[in-house]
Amino acid sequence: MSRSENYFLPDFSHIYLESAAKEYEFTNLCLDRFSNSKVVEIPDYKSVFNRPGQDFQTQKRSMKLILAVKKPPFIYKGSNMLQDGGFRNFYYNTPILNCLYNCDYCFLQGMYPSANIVVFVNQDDMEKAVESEIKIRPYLDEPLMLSISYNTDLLAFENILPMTRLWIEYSKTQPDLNLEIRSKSTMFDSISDIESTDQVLLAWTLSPEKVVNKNELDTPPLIKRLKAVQKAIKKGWRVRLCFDPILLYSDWEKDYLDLLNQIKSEISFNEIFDITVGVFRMGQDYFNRIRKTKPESKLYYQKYINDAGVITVSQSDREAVEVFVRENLSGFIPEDRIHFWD
Amino acid sequence: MHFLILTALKAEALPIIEVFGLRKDSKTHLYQNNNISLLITGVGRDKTKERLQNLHQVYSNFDQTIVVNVGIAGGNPHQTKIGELYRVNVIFDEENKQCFIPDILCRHPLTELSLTTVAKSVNKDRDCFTGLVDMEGSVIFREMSRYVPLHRLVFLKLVSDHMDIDDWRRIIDVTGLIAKQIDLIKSILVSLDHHVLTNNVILSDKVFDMIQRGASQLSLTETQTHQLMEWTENYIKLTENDLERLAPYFIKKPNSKKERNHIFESIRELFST
Repeated sequence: MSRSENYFLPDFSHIYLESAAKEYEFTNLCLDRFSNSKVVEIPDYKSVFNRPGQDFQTQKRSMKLILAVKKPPFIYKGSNMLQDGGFRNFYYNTPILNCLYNCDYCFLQGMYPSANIVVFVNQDDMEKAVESEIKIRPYLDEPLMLSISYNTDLLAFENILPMTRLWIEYSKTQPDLNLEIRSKSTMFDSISDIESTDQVLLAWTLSPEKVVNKNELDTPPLIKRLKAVQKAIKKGWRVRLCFDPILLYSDWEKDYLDLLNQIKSEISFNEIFDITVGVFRMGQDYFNRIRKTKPESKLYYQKYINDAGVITVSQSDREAVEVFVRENLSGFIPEDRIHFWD
Repeated sequence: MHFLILTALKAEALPIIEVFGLRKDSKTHLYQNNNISLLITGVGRDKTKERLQNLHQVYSNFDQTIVVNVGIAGGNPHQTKIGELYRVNVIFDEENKQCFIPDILCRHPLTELSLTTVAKSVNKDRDCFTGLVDMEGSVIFREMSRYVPLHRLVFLKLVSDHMDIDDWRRIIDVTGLIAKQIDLIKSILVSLDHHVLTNNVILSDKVFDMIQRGASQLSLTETQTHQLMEWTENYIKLTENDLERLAPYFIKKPNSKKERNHIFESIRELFST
């Protein structure tokens, strides 16, 4: 049964509005955008988002919007699950919790008890926290790299709230700030009028069409993501390509080779800033939490190793992926611009 | 799906009992017919809590159950009409100030309102209460959310008064009020009846029983039993084969822990191949 079938209410049929979030600009924008939604006022966003007894995958069929005011911390140091791409002052923040997409391998379904989307409307507080952190970053001769799309796909949300636009514009006022905006969306058009800046790295996750169809529910097809990449490059943006995760199944090499060949034929690797590569990995707590819900995806029933609390594929499989990527990108992009998760 | 309908009063239950042809089970006190069960909880927090805390002794099919609370409620005079049926989207507990939110994921035809659960009937300061007021909602939510996920908790409230009666017992025709909306209540239940709302299950009851009996025969530890369940799930998800090959391992009772562990390792090997 597809999510859009008539049985379920449309996404954002309900907006849960934290009392403290009233009167913020983002709140008004959302309420205007979804003027037919039922608005339910709540004392605290956690009274909806953190309720016990929620079913993440069933909620995905009718996601609700929660508007809330974020309390500190507003910025976090990057975890070992994230790829820093060579940036030593690597941080992330969470303007939005959860994602419009529903990828099988996504850690969010284990991280959060709810599939509902939380938008934190107090952008100013997040910006101030970034400014404070810039001043005390460990490597003062390097910029602070902030991933703003870590617990969501921020660009996919752009036609609902222009948050990506605001962050990009904000970065231009902070010379020591770089942004990584990772996405699978094709919403580049909604920010294409902004003058490009080297402070912002637009990163697209690319997967073979078979993986997109099977494991990346509700995401745009590969061909449309490639078009968005092409447009971004043409407009002068720094673009990162992410093959992360590369999923291992029988004949994965063939599908990923086809993917790389398709990219080679449509995009000049000289114009790519860098590439990040990773395999399926997830903190064991998240993995076990997802596994308990008996998910449909076969990903959660395969053999993995537990590497210091991280559920992932074997070392030999990781090496096979690295060899595969290096061999097939050799001559197209310098090796030091390919970053592997390990 | 199965439906477990909860009402506070027998007068509320009567039209439901009639329309679904429910019969009372004298042992369990549940009214039942096919996939519908009904329990009368009694009025107020304490009675409701007590009945629901003992419910697991007489009802167990929660994996496939939608819990529906049907009952009368006081309504804010500016927001509600007497005799109208409403769907509750948030419950405030007046006593402990907690807030409970059922997940409304499926389409329905009703106007949604908030519900405040109070300890005593409200007949003054009625404008302080928006939406609806009852005496059981928050307790039902708290007790039943232990058994079913939040999208399978449904609160349907019919406005019997505008909080202008000092004692709920003076509400004259509760049965008549519910009876007038029984077709709507029935149509809502029918519309919710969809397998997509059930819990995900990988092991059928038959396979689950086989593993349990096997684990008992082999005297497996709790951890080993858990691992065996997990391997079986992996095997079924990845191969979609049946488990005939597993049965021979459960025939012989091991004479020692060493032998048990040996058999357990053989099962592990079977699943890895």
